[in-house]
Amino acid sequence: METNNNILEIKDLSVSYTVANVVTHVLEKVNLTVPKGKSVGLVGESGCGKTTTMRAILGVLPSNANIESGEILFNGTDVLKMPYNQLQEFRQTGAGLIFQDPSSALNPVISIKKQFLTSLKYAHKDKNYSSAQLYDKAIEALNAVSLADPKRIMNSFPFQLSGGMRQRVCIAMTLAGEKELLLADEPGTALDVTIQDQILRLIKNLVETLDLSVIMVTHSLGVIRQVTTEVNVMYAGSIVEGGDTHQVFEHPSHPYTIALMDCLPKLTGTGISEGIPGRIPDYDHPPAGCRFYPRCTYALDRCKSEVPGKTIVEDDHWVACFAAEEGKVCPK
Amino acid sequence: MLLFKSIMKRLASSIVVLLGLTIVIFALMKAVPGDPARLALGPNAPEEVLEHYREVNHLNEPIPVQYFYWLSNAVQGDFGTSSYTQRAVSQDIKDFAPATIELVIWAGIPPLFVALFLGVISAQHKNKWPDYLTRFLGYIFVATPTFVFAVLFILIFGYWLPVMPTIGGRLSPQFTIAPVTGMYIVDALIGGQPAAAWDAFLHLLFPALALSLGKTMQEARITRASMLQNADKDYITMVTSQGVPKKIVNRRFLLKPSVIPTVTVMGMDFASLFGNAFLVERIFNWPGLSSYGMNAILNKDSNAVVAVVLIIGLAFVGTSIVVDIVAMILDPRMRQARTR
Repeated sequence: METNNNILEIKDLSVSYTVANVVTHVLEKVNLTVPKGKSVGLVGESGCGKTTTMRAILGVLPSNANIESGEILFNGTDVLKMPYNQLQEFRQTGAGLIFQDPSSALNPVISIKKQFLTSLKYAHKDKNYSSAQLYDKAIEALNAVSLADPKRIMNSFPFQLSGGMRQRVCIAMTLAGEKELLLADEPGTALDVTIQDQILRLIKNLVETLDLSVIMVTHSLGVIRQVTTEVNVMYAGSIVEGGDTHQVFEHPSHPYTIALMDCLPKLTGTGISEGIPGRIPDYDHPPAGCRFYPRCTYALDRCKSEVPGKTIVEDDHWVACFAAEEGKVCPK
Repeated sequence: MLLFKSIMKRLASSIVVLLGLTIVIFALMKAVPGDPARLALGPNAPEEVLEHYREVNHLNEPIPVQYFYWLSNAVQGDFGTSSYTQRAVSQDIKDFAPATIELVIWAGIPPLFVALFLGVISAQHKNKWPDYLTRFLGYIFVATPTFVFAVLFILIFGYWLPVMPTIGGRLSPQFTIAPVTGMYIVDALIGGQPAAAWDAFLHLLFPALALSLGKTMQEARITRASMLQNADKDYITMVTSQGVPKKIVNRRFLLKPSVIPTVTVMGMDFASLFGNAFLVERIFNWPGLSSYGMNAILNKDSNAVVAVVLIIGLAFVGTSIVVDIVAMILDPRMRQARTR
């Protein structure tokens, strides 16, 4: 069975939100696989469903979200069907999420110490650590994300810390949980490049030494290239291209991936790129066929009504695009 | 330390508010048409007597000077004589205020806990029967005026199921309580009269209920709304996603940020009871400050009106200080804001 080597397999996951009685179909049959001990990237524009995917894995979607279909297999067990106790255990030891927005991920009226130690207590529930041991672990984790004076930070409230410090506290809290799978939702977007680099290196190091598996969510292709071995390109709630990071970067095959790469500012380039015209479709009435169709420069007639299936590009690289299937997409 | 400093600042600023309040009240008193000497002494008083009254009460001085005299007396607890009861206003207040304070405390503080409890239950069982029941009763209770409750209680608990003393007042005539604090339940307990304390409690229970039912349900709704709003916040999702059990999340992480709005609203509700209890005090024959103040207004008894308004103002200022202190204890950001 192929499941043996995969810590996480998401199969045909569809999620919708209900906002003011309008149902928006955000995730449409997402498939994502994370091999054990590997770091997998998930890249796409803002609002394409990356964070929804991460939250669905831990069962912490907002209350107006609805999982319509699909499976999320963690070590072969469907998270969506877990009874409460098993789900708690999965959250405590299985997977941990680094939140995207550091300003809202910490409770404004509770000290960092209390938040940190409560989280750690449950993450290491099976080990029966004393509170002094938990405190040491927290300090260690704060040191690891290069926060100066961790003891003072422990005694602070979130509003007394800067945005960057808060984000590092969040990262430290999740890393200190020592879970098997790390879901990093744009870690370091609020940090300056040197610290961001440090944190990415820390994560990479954990992957290599502790056999940690990671989903790295980002809209930065640079981060993907630096940290991941596999990449999934997400557009408007579906994964449109995926595979080995090198192969995808060498031969991007989906028009969206190509456009995304063109948007990267190049040191040698001439000025700012033009970007991708148009915007992500409205999720309450998404296009019936390929969701990228309205913005696609290679669009064919059938793209309007049919959803493209997977096409193998190379041995570890696939794409969901009719134009690519017919060989009509050629990167510039 | 930070907390202490914030509290001191808060107290200092409230003195300014109180001074402002006295100016407004005094100006209002002066703006009311009518000769105070004539009002006090009646239509048949001779002119020399009126002149003497004006002289003694500094009514011939310019208004700012009059304000100064009035303020210096008021600070010493002298609000003049009530033209209606013919007693010192301060004495009247000494008699009426404890009744109101006792009523307001019982109508204000236990209901807060009920409101928080109902709000939490309602939020935790969102769209299930405990929530529907709380919300349904909430609509009814919020929409019903307090005097309707008062009349219904007298009908139900006074006549149909006679558990309540229907004559009203604060105590049945067979009891006498030695005054200590002026609050009968406490005084009876201090004096070792449990039967009298129980009797005083029964007298108090229904007016307090009538006053508090609507506000309690309103506070419960606010608690419910802010709990539900906060439940989707990232900081709750964060601890949930770490595998912290739901009970602990709710108790330690969700409740605290969610009760802050309720506490603020509750403080204002509490202070407003001092002046708004009039109808309920009337129906239950409760000798409180509201009915005293209302009588004073109807009889153009300006000294008494001013004193009552000042006391209600004091109650508002005092309550808002307490509310601010509680908010500072609950929310560390408030401490910071106050010391800036």
